Amino acid sequence: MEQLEKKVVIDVKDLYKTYMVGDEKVRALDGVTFQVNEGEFVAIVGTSGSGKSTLLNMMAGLEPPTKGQIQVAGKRIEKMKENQLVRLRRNKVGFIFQSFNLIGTMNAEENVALPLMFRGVDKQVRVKKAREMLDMVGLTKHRKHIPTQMSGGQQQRVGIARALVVNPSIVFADEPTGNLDSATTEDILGLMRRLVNEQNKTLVMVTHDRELAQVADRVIHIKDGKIIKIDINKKENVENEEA
Amino acid sequence: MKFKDILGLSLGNLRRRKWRTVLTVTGVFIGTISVVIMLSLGFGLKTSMTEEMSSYVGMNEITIQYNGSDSSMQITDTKLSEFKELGFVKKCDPLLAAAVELEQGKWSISATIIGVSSDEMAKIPIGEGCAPSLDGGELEVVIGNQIITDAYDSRTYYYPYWENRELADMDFMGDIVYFKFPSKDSFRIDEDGNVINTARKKIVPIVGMVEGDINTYNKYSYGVYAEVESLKAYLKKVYKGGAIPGQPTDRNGNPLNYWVYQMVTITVNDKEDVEEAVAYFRELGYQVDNNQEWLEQTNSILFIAQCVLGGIGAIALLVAAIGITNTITMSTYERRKEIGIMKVLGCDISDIGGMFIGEAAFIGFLGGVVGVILSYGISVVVNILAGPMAAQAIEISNLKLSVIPMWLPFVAIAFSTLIGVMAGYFPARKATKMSPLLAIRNE
Ligand SMILES: Nc1ncnc2c1ncn2[C@@H]1O[C@H](COP(=O)(O)OP(=O)(O)O)[C@@H](O)[C@H]1O
Ligand SMILES: [Mg+2]
Repeated sequence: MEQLEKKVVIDVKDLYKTYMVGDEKVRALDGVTFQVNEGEFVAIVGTSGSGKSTLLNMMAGLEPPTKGQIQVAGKRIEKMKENQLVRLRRNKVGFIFQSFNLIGTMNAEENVALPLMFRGVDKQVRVKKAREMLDMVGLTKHRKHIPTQMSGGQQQRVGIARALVVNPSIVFADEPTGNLDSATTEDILGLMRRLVNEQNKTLVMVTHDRELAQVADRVIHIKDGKIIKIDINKKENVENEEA
Repeated sequence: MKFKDILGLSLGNLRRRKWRTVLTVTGVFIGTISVVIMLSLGFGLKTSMTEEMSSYVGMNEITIQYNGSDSSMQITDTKLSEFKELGFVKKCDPLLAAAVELEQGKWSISATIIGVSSDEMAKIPIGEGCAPSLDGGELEVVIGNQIITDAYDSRTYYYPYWENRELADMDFMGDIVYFKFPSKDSFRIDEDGNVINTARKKIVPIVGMVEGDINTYNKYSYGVYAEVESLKAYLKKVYKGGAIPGQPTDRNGNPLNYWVYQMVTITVNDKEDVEEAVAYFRELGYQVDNNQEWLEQTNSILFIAQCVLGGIGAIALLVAAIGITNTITMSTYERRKEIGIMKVLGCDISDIGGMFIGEAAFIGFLGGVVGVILSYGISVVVNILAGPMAAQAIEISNLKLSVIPMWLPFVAIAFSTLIGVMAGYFPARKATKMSPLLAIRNE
């Protein structure tokens, strides 16, 4: 009952995406409909090439759909101009990448502060905020390290701090542990789970690993561009993770 | 995004690619130097010439000379009174030249005494001493400030100034200077083969010297000036009724009873009459010179020169602009991924464009500043090295070959910055159109 009262933050309706490869049509998304509620952790699972990234990119406004509707944070985004999409991401969305995508010439602190710079926040304020975020992800000692001076797990922690520094209501993550070993993967997933719970973020995570998907509240299974199944995980599962 | 932060990102990128930045900036400052120096040469010449022209010679004056063999064309007092009758003529100032050898000790100078009207005399700037008195008494002269450079040793024909940049130890103002007036048979060779100079040797008081030191040229610097009527009277006395060199004689070599002037300066009533006067005297067959015509010609030559030189500068700047475009294009391709990340993280598209335009503008700005600074240096060097030479070549005193007006550095820097902005515009725009998906794809 509690679930139903929650606000819908992402509403995807009849979404299609067709790529032309030579003369051939590739249906990356073939009629996808689902909703994500506020504060929910949703995992999108499927084999490689099933259309997970395409779906995520479209929700983040990085790519326009061929057909269908996407509503994010109350706004229809499928017809938006790029500068409107950028503004939406700046104000509402955080993004965590598989290959971390930190700026190689900037240290951890500067990387985390970058989205604040895009918002026109004063340097002192954003440095203070970035430090808080780094403390939160456990990288207090690595503030001044540049990406090549950090391990994959540390880099992804910086990536998470950067995604959360603007206090977004929605966070997207595309295979956030894809480049990490299994021990670090558990670390990172645990961290993401914790932050979502503590800060009531909506998190949409793409992964090809069914095991990892179990950490989410809800798991959307996707195959050949279609949703084949949606699992709702038990609450105990979540509490175990927190413990 | 704050302007400060965009600029910070731009500068950071430039600093990271130091070598490439330096090379691109080099292109810009070479272009800037070309344009600034070329313009400064034009301004220098133009300023000097215009000042010269308006200070020494009125724009409503023309000079006429006759170099032909038709004696009826010669400029005589009769001719002068005819000229004065012409409607556009205000006055005529004749000029009479007589060759003379100045002598003091072992030193000699071959000079010309130039007889000018008292009006003309008044225009000669006097440094040491004073102007000759014009009361029609004894002949007095003013001597040019650079004439000493023509002094030579009368036995060895050694020219100390031209050969060794040394000045002959002559004293025009304090010591007696002999004026030797040549005649038809000035030089005779006696039985032993010695050259005997029979020229008439006189003492003429030098009362003043033309203003300026040994390096300051003006058009009076190499002459010996006297008032024309006194000179005529004096020459008559010196040659004792005999033939005066340069003056008309009959078939037997006896002097005729009138004077022929080498040149006359005609002042017309109005500047607008100059053209008519020039045409009139040319039509008659005289050689006519006037400053207005010369100034116009020089100006148009200068204008062409400036265009050509400015064109070279413009090409240099165009090449520099292509260099900037190239550098920024490379920069955007190298940072495709970074641009994608920035877009995903919500960086305004205009800020991404601004970052690259900022880079380009800063390259242009830096090139402009360096170029302007170096231009000042080059300008000084040009004035020191080439200035005096050019001054002699075009007969202008105090010539500054290269003049950089106050506004030029500012305009030059603004212009080079603008070139940077324009050169960076298209690559920057392309950068803003790069897909954010580049950030997401792996590999
Ligand atoms: N830019 C593209 N051009 C052509 N085909 C694409 C493009 N992006 C993705 N595809 C195709 O769309 C399908 C889904 O891709 P994607 O969403 O990346 O899958 P996943 O992330 O689940 O591995 C694949 O068959 C892929 O080859
Ligand atoms: Mg994928």
